[in-house]
Formats: sequence, structure tokens, C-alpha cells
Amino acid sequence: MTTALVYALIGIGTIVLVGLLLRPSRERAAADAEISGEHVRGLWEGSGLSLAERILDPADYLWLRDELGFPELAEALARSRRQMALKWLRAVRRSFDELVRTPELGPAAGHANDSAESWQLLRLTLRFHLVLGYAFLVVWFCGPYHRLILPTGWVQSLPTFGRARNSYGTADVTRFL
Amino acid sequence: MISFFLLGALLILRAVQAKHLSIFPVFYSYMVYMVVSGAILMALYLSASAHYPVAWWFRYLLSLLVEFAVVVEISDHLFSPYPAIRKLGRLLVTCICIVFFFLYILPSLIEVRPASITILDLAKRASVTKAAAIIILIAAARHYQLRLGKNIAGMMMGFSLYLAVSVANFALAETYGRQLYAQTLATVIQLSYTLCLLVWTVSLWRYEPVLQTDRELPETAEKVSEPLAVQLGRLDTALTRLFRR
Repeated sequence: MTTALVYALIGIGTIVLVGLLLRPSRERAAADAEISGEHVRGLWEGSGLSLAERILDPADYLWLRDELGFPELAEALARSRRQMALKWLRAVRRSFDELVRTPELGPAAGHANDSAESWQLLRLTLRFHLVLGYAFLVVWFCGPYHRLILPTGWVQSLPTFGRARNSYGTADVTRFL
Repeated sequence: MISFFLLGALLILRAVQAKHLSIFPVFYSYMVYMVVSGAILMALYLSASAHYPVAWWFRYLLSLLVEFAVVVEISDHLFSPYPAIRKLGRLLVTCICIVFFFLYILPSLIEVRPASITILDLAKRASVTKAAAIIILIAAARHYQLRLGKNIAGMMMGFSLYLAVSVANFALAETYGRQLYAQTLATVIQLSYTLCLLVWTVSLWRYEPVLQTDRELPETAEKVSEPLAVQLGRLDTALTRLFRR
């Protein structure tokens, strides 16, 4: 009897869930409105990428903490940079989703004759989502100054590890936060 | 029973008249199969043939398999206008089917039980799998804010109504057994399928492509000058390089 009740609930849940999912989304529209089109435009061009580099660069944080000796201020800066980094990542996701939503116009639309290419595009799309999801997790839990992707050439860099890498701008960010 | 044949025939005739058959070939093949096999079944029932119960289950189990193909066709239509995620529907449906088969359906099949219980359980679990596939497909479409269109949304809604009722119905049949529930099982399946057909007939009355050319396209649509694969690859590289600094 319990099993029947559970499955009856699954049935009701299915109808409710499908009904809810088929409704137009207001929350998502509101979240997107927060990140305006201007934020998304030019995100992948030179100025947009350099802005991201500035957000993720720990130089200011290290300067406040080590040079000026204001660890509390440095922490506050790191917190605000984390919010900026998360907002930037959301804008990246929106920009990418817009690209993914780009429809193929013309008579070829909808035909599956380009099967291999379609799978390749899907692979790239999923890979991007994976990297972006991982970036969200790392920024959320570890902050914006954490090295997100381990360098592949770490073996060669071992002899120079230490004082030589302890400079701002190209700092060894794995040591912080 | 009459409403099932009326709606089924209406749906097929409307598709022939409006030339929709080639747009949803698997779906309409499935509809033809359901109506024709339903008519044969009806003839067996009226002639009080001893083959009727076996024929009923054979028709039902075959329809279970064909319905998976219909779900795949719906998923293809859902994502087909978007090259970057054109195969996403197929990937999702395949993954869900594999996971559910090995973790949910297969363990129940290898259990030693009376054949009638095993068949009821298989039908129930197959319905849960299809319902899960539909929910995940709609969720993916919602994630990308894709327009489903009246046809696809209606097909999914009708299908999920039928599957949801089937799940509860088969679970109750398993619990109460053939003596108590056999008649109710057949009646509820007929009713839910007729309701599903009604939703399909209304939603598929007129073909509406998912993308309409007079609709506003995303901002990126007008400035696509390089192949999508190059753009996706470029963004992927830029993001990876940024976090590898």
C-alpha cells in the first residue's frame, strides 16, 4: 500500500512539475534583468577580459595586507571582489547562453545531416558549462584569488618556486585564501 | 473507447490534411499503430477471443518501446533550431534511459516474482523513466530559455498526463492484484489515454514551428559572422586561460 501511495505521489508530482516548468519563468527574467545587456556586451573583448583579470588579480589584496598592513580591509576587499567575480561569472553564463540560443536560420535548420559537427558543438558547450560551474564553486567557496585550474607545467616551475614568484600581479595565488 | 478512436482518427486525418505527417513521423506512426492495433483489439474483444489478454499486453508492451522513440523525436524538435545544443535532447534521453535501465528497471526484472507482477512493474517503471526524461527535457529547455512552441509543449503535457496516471495506476494494480483491479486498470488507462489524445489533438491542430521568423531573435543572432564552433572554442579557451593565470 505504501508503494502504491509513493507512486501515486510521483504521478501527481510529475503533473505539477511539468505544469510549473511549462509556465513562463519570471524569476529567471528578473535575474537576467539584474545583469543588463550592457554588462554582457563586450565581455569577451579586450576590455572585458582585462576587467576580469583585474577582478581575479590578488595584487591589491596583497598590497593592502602586506605593504600597508590592513588585513581587515584586505579581507573586505576580497569579499567584495568575490561578489564581483560571481557577478562576472553570471554575466559570462548569460552571454554564453545567448550564443547557444543563436538559432540556425534558413532551410538547413532542423536537419540532422551534420551529425558529427552537432556532437562536437555539444561537447564544446558542455565543456564550457563544466569549467564555468567549477569556477562558480571555487570562487564561491575559496574566493576569487584561488588558482582555479592547476597549471600543467608545474613540474618545470618547481625549481623557481619561492621568493622569485612572490611578486604582485603574477603572484603565486595558491598561497592565499 | 469510442472517444479514443474518434480523437485518434481525427488527429491522424488532420495531420494528413495539414501535411504534418512528415514533421513528426515517429509520433504519427505511433498514432497509426495505436489506432489500428486498438481496432484489432476491439475486434478480438467483441468476438470474445481467448487471445484478447495476450494481444492487449503485447500491444501495450510494444507501445512502451515506441513511446521512447516518440520522446526522442520530441527532444529532437525541442533543440533542433539551435546548433550548439542540437544533440542535447538525444544525449539527455539516452543518459536517462541507460541510468534508469541499470539502476531501476533491471533490478526489478531479475527479481523472482509472478509474471503478471513483473509485467505490471515493468510498465510502471518504464512510465517513470519516460516521465523523468520529459521533466529533464523541459528543465533543460527552461534553463536555456528556449521557446517550446504550442506543438511541443502540448505533446509533452499530454504525454506526461498519461504517464503520470499510468504510474499510479500500475502501482495500484500491483497492490490490489488482478481480481480486484483488472477492470479499473483497463478503464483508467483508456481514460488517461483519451485525455492525452485530447491535449495532443488541440495542440497539434495547427503546426507552429518552435522558431517563428517574425519573432525577435537573440542579440547574437545578427552578429554571427564566424562559425559557431570557432566562437564556442574561443570562449572556452578564453575562460580556461583566465583561470589558469
